[in-house]
Amino acid sequence: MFLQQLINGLALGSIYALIAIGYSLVFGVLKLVNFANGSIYMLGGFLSLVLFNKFQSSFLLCFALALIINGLVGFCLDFFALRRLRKTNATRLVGLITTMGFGTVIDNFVMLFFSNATVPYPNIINFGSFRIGNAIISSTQIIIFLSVVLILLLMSFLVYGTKIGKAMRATSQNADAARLMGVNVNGVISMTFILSAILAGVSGTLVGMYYQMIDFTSGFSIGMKTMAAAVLGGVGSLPGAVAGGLIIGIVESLGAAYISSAYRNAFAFIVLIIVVLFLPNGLFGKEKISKV
Amino acid sequence: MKRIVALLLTCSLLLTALAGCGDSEKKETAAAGGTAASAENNAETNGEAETPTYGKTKLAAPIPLTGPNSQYGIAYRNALEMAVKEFNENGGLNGTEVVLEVLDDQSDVTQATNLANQLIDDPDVFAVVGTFGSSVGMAVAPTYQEGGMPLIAPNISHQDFPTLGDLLVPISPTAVIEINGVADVLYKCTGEGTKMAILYATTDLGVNVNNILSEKWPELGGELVYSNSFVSGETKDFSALLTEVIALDPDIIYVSGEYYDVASVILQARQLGVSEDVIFSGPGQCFTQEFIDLCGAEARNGVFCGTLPAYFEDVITTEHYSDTMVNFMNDYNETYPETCNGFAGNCYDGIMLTLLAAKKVGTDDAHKLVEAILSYEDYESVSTSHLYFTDYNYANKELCAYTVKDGKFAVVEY
Repeated sequence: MFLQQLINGLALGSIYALIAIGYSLVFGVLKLVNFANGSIYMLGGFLSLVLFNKFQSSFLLCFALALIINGLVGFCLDFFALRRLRKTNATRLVGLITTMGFGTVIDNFVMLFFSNATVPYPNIINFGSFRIGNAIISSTQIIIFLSVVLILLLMSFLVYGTKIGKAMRATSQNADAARLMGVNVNGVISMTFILSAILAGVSGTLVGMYYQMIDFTSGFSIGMKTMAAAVLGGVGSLPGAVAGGLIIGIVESLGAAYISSAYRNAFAFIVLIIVVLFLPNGLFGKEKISKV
Repeated sequence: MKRIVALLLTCSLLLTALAGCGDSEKKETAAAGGTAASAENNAETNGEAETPTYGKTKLAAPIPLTGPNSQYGIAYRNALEMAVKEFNENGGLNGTEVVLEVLDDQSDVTQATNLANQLIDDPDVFAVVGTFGSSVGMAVAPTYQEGGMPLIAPNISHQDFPTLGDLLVPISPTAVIEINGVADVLYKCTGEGTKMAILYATTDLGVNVNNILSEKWPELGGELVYSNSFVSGETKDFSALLTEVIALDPDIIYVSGEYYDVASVILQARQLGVSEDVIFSGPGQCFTQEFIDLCGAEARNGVFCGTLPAYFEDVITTEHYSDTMVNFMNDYNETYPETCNGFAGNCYDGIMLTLLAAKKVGTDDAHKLVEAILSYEDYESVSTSHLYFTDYNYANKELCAYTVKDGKFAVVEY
């Protein structure tokens, strides 16, 4: 039974990790807690489904189209809401509250125009399941886990191995200095939001398939968990986000099974508090040196 | 002189205190004996001593139009609009039209309490129909009771709700009445020594259902092997719980929660290899098209039981359905894009009973109105074959049990 619980935890953790990567990306560049990430994740899942139901064509095509729209939504969040705040040198708290408001708008948009009920989601990545001892692993769980690994590698390459990644890191360290060096800071930030929204869309679609259903409230609770995952791993660190997600997923599953399911949400945050007490920058976070 | 003044002051204070006590005693008597007073009022009405007066013409409905329970709020709103329109078209309150005011409480206790305080101060409102579920309903019931406002609750089934006041009218039977009936049905369907596992939501209703079923099942001769809770709506992943449940090899898994919770458990259990021999069971909340859409095929052989009716054409021809119920379902489905469900049926019953009673006894006396609702005879319910009240305000309705065959609901013979 323990092995099955571990697999359950890993599957759940993979979902958290998938969303936490995009979340960590935005925080890494802007030092901004993007509370709209959960809603964008839910929107991505809904968009894939709505397009698929509407056109009844290839799911992959609808999925790609949904990701493009989701990326545009991410761009709009930055262009219409946050860019203006940066111009006026507003504090990060204002930005944080703005993302909350943007998330609420998305949630209510989905509720009004897509569905206020829980709707079924086709699982097109279900190729059966197989056993390891007494434990069962489904193909969906494996695909989600592999997606996490693939996205982590891709994002790491993008951030550490390309020119745009260098610009992102430069913007993260000192936006003004980066601008003086010729980096299009606004463009870099917009690109980060687009990437983060696309990743959220991938997660939303995969999770919809995994649970075979989706509803407009699904972004909120998962948004909080992924925030915990990113902080636990060290905000801004991509491997940290993945490690944080997996740890929270496993702790939650084991806690629900062996202690109480009613407090499963609490376990994630208890682990977070304990880790942050001893490692304030998270597991993979680097200590920030402030020069006076 | 000073002594005389002091003596007079002391006497006057004593008299005031005594008068105060008398008042409060009167108030307490009035509160405790509200039923008796109302019965007296009703006797006067039955004696046709008074002509009904309709000083108040507004019916308010605080329901969740946004937030996680908005789908139920929409069903309520449709039923409310349907009932008020029909009532006004048939003459209203002897020529006076009833005004319906629908408000959004978001299923949020704070918002619902603010609305309750607003409504009890509104001089035009004669009754309130609404709030969804026991968690919000139990929180606001005392406000309505103390404010002298009748609260007609379509879907509050907490067993303590009817005891909170004589102005409270639940249209659903309490969880005690319903779950005892459900346990009997499940036992008849499964037999002696059946091993049951319960997964319940951490809501007022879910905890109650677990307490009642955990006690009743062993009494009947079954065996309770597992009981654990989850947070309805937030818990999407049931694999940890189901892994434990599967290890105990139960014959029946009862899930007390919303339709999506039950559907999630069934779908995830099948993924974890739960065989078709295991019976899944859930409450009347599952009697919706959404539930069938989510897990229709996987819910085969399940037993879903409750006092909410299932408005489906496949089961509508059975003896459980009256012509009134069929007509209601058809009218609803023709008028609104949403499919008719039991929540709409309960709400329609609540508001129509209130309107008919108000027409009979007037809208200016809250106790008289509630008495008339509870004792109204010959009302043709749209949600059950016979809706009646016992022990003052305890609703009674017929229990419905369905299974799923070929992705459709079918009546369970037991």
